Amino acid sequence: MSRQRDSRTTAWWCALVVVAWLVLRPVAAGAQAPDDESPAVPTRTEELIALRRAKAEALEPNEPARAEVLLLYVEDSRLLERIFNPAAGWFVQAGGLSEGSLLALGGGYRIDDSRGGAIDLRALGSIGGAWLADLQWHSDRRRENPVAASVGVAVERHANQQFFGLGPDATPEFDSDFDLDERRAGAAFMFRPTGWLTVEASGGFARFDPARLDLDFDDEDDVLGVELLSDDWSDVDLQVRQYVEGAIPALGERTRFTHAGVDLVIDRRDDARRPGWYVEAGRRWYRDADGRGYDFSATRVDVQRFLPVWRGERIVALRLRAEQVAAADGSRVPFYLQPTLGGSRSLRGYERQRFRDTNALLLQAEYRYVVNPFVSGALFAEAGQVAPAWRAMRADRLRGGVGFGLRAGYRELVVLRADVAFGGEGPRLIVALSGVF
Amino acid sequence: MGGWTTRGRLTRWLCTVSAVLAIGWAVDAAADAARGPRFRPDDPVRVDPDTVADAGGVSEQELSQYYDFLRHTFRLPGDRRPIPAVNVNTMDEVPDSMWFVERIGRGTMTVDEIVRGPDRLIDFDPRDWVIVAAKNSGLQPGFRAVVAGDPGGQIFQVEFDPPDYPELATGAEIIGTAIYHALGYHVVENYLVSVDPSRVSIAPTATIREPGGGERPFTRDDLHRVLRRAARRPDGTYRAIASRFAPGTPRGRFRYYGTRPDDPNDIHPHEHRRELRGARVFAAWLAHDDSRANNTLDMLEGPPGAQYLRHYMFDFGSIMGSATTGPNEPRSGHAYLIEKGPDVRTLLTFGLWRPPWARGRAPRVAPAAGPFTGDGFDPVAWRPEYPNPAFENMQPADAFWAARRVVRFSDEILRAIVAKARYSDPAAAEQIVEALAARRDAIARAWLPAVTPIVDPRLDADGTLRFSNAAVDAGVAGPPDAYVLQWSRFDNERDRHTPVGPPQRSGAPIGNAPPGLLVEGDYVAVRVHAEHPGYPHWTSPVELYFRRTSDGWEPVGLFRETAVHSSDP
Repeated sequence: MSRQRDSRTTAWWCALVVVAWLVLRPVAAGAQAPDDESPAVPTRTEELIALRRAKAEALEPNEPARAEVLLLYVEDSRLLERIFNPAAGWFVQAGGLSEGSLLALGGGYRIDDSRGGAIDLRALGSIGGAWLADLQWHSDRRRENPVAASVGVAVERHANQQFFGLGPDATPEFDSDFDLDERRAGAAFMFRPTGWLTVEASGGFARFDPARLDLDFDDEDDVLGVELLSDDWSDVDLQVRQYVEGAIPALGERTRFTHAGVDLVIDRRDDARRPGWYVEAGRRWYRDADGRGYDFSATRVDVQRFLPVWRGERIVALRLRAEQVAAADGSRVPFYLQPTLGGSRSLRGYERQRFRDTNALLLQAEYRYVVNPFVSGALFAEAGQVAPAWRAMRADRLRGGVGFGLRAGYRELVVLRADVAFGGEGPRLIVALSGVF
Repeated sequence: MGGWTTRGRLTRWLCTVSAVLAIGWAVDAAADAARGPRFRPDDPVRVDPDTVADAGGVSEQELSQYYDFLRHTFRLPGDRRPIPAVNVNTMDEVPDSMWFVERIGRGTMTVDEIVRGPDRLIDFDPRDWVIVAAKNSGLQPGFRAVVAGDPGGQIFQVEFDPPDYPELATGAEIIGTAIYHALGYHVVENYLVSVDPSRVSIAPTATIREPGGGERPFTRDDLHRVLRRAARRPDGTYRAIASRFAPGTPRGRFRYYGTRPDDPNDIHPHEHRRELRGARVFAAWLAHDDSRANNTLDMLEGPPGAQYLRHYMFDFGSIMGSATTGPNEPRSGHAYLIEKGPDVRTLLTFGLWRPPWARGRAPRVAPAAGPFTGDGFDPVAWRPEYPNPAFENMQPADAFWAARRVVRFSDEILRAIVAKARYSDPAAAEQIVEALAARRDAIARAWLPAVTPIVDPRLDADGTLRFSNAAVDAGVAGPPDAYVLQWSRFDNERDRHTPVGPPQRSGAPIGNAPPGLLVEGDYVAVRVHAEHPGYPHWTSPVELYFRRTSDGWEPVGLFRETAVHSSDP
């Protein structure tokens, strides 16, 4: 019964709501109709003003995101410039040692000479055991200056230098290595008559000391023994044979030179997409300070041509590099100062310094495609050869390879490169902190 | 049992009905209360009062260029809802404010006024400058200086062209300043001047910031270094832009999204401001791919206690064919710096996939003009260097609004503006005029027909309705087959229409109010749409509202229903 009564009560209440709605709705609507006594609706302008006044009462501080604060500090304070290239004071340097030194890091102290130039005292070391310490004064090096000069002294260890023997037929069987210690002092004067031409004259003193020479075949007693006892020298590895015959100039020998040279740079590249020519040529004369028969001259020509394709979005880059070290009469060129091929920048399908001789020719072609301003890719092909003389170069003995790679950086500046090279003695993966050319 | 069941069902039915009615009542009452009058007495608002609250406490908002690029490239900020612009008045126009002042849109600017732009100084080309500071930011070589003997010490930033591209950046700056000013934005005064190094002196207090931090006195060598990076004329002088420092106190930049939390006058989210959304059309027109927060400027003006921010568009040295230090790249305007689709396609095909903009031969261009042409210009697909929240939010109505201003620049006006840049190579001037005109026309074709393009309604006292068709008037569309008009009496207080008479069909942009409609009531409305086989979306109606005045009827409302964008039909 109680349930029945509850239900009936509910029904009555509901019916009352319906009736109330029917009766009161028109009344309510009428009540909402405006008349002279209803509150005035604000004007649009008053409404906009009210919104602003309300915001003024509840202002909040303008707090940028932490990441933005950090990046703004980096930009405003020119932090990277201050860290890596300040006008004066302490600075940090990453990289900058010779190939094979692996990751190099260091720093130095710069004293402003108050005329745009500076004195730099640097020390760098690498996980590969290479190091450098130098002291250099240089004048204002900004590109718009037509003249520049520098004077400096340095001691440097080029670590993990590799030696497979001299000549184009050196085999990969014995991978001897050594460190090359260098001490140098010199001065250079640069003249830039136009924006695209630079002439530099330089001279100085240098001492080279091949240290920790570790001949690979020393550990291969049985192999060495067999080869030394062999009647047929053609079976003997070239490096071993050159070693036995004393055909490796200045092997384990320290050398000292005075040198002078002149270099020429013609840079006709367009900054926007870098089409155009780039030519480097130089000749340097080395005089053996100890008179032990190591006088020679070194000549280098590097011609690069950049051809824009598809409105500059693709670049075909071509390069011809020729190097020669020519001994004076009765002299020889220390093996560690002879041109090499192989490594991250030349003949990437071969190990670093895989080929070494007095003449070296390198041909490279890269098809570079811009993915975006920060990433680009490349397909490459290269060929090269070393020889004891230019006339000994043979087209059918060119070594080469192909590959592809990715570069990260900004426009033409490469800060990280990964190449995969095939052919030669590859495939090889190369990771480097700079471009090829 | 059966009786109980029937009574129970009745109870449930009554309860359900009453609940629905109660809810309906509440909703109805609330809606009525919320609706209120559609038009206020001051509609359409012509001036947005955004100087009323004191903004003296606004902090300087310097923005990181790296952060701005990364944030906008990888996670676009701001509200992305596809809502109409929030700061338009009831006539779908932008009220004047510290962001925007209607200029060429009013149709009353003379050619001379357009060319003069923001300049207040006449024939300004002083011979003697005094350097007061180095220019410590930006890519263009330059310095800060005052005119020798100026008692007011007004500071100018003097900037030069890059050596290999004389007149490129300075010409762009002059043209951009005049056009953006005429469009309605606040811009700083920029003057084309000739600098003779022998007549430049250095104030003893002038300093230069060292690359690694710290400051030192600015020397003659510093001046020579600046000038070595600048384009020198055969007579030894240098063409330069002298930018007059804007009045007030710098308060950094404005973002293209959100509002400044410390600016009481900033209440409209920037990504929903029409003049910032529509700026995409203007940027496309002028190839201003550098249109981003870092090229804006906020200045604090007014007396203490009644200060407000004025918002400037800033730095036009990299518009048109100029990238400030050289010509623009082919990619400019066609793709973001980082854009997933094209980037991945390029990567996976080893670059053998060629983006459309890299096809064909590069156009032959005048060096001072750079690669700025109308060839292949697609105003709909145009992109800045990286996404801009306001640009991304642009809707057809915003683009239509902007396009109407672009088409007001006649060939005569464009020629006069370009002449102000005083290019020594007539071919450069001619190329720029042609490019501006061609791109203007492309914008008109793309955006004027994108909505039902009915504008400028007038209702005469005798009941004659006249309006315009912006697309037809611009010559980018033929007249529609018919305009269809539905008149109604409008109850402004309740926001309710009472249709009057049957729909009218008219072959011309004209109509007549039904007899008796105008006799009583303060508001009338007419819904208009057009029937055009080439633009089927023109059937989306435009609602026009008129309010009775002492001498007739004034247009008070223009509302477009959502239209489907259609570029070239």
